[in-house]
Amino acid sequence: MSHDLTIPVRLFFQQFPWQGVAIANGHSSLPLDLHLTVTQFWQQWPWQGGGDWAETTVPTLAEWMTCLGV
Amino acid sequence: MTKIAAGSSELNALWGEPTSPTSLFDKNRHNHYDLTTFFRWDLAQGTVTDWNGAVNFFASEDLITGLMDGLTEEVGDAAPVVLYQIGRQWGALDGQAFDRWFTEEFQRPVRQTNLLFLLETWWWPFTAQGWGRWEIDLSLQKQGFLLLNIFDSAIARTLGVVGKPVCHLYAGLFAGFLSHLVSQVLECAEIQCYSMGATYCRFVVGKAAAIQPVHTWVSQGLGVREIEKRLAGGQALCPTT
Repeated sequence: MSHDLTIPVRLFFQQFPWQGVAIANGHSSLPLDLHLTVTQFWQQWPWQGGGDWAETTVPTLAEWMTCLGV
Repeated sequence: MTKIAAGSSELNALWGEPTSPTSLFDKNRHNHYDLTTFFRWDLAQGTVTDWNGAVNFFASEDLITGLMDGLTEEVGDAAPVVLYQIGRQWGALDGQAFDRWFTEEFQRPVRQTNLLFLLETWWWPFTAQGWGRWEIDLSLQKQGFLLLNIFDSAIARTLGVVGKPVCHLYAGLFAGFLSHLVSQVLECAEIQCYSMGATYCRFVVGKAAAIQPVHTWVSQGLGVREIEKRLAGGQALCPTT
């Protein structure tokens, strides 16, 4: 199933039946800019979205241990 | 009965070696965390065994409250420390069990695995058991910290708003497991708790010396943003990628 990732994230989520659930759960205080495109929205997060995050921006355990100075 | 709790390696130690999960379930299936798949119910024996072979028991919120009250009556102000140490030991033992079942299930070495995937895989059984959903925050990884959010902490939700952090068992669990994972002593502090009126609980894990002042900041009433600002001001241990 493919999605148009160039539309604003607000429109993207409004396609789904559970729209608004984040607000109902009290997460509305998060500084989310729902006018961003879907791609831009996910790129805000530490893992930077997309299908390649797992291999590019998140360390392996061994790399994280290096971060910790182990 | 309102909760599922404590599927643990400690219980394995009490009940003997767990049955190999591959003898019970399809080892190639990874999405196995729904109620009737993750748990194996043996009514004749009166046991509930999970996917990874640990024996579980169902506990009510009354039991959690009773344990907390009883422990406080026995050891007074030391109760948080005792709970933290129980959690730490649990985490260390669970880490040993995790090494086995992760390697067996995914056929890959733990250390060469993507950190988020690894940690998510570790926590999924806890989610299935009712310990709450979680979220990993790597925003301070370059400063040598790992941030964790717990939604629906079983302990905090049970105790309600009491004005102080109460998830010492969780903090110990994270410290124990992650210490095992990196073969170094790490500590964990809860910097925001549902029981302090927040919407979720937030923990920071790092080296002991770095976490020590965090406890002081929390007890001084510093907010989570100020604490993280101070943590972010620490010396970066890794180059920016």
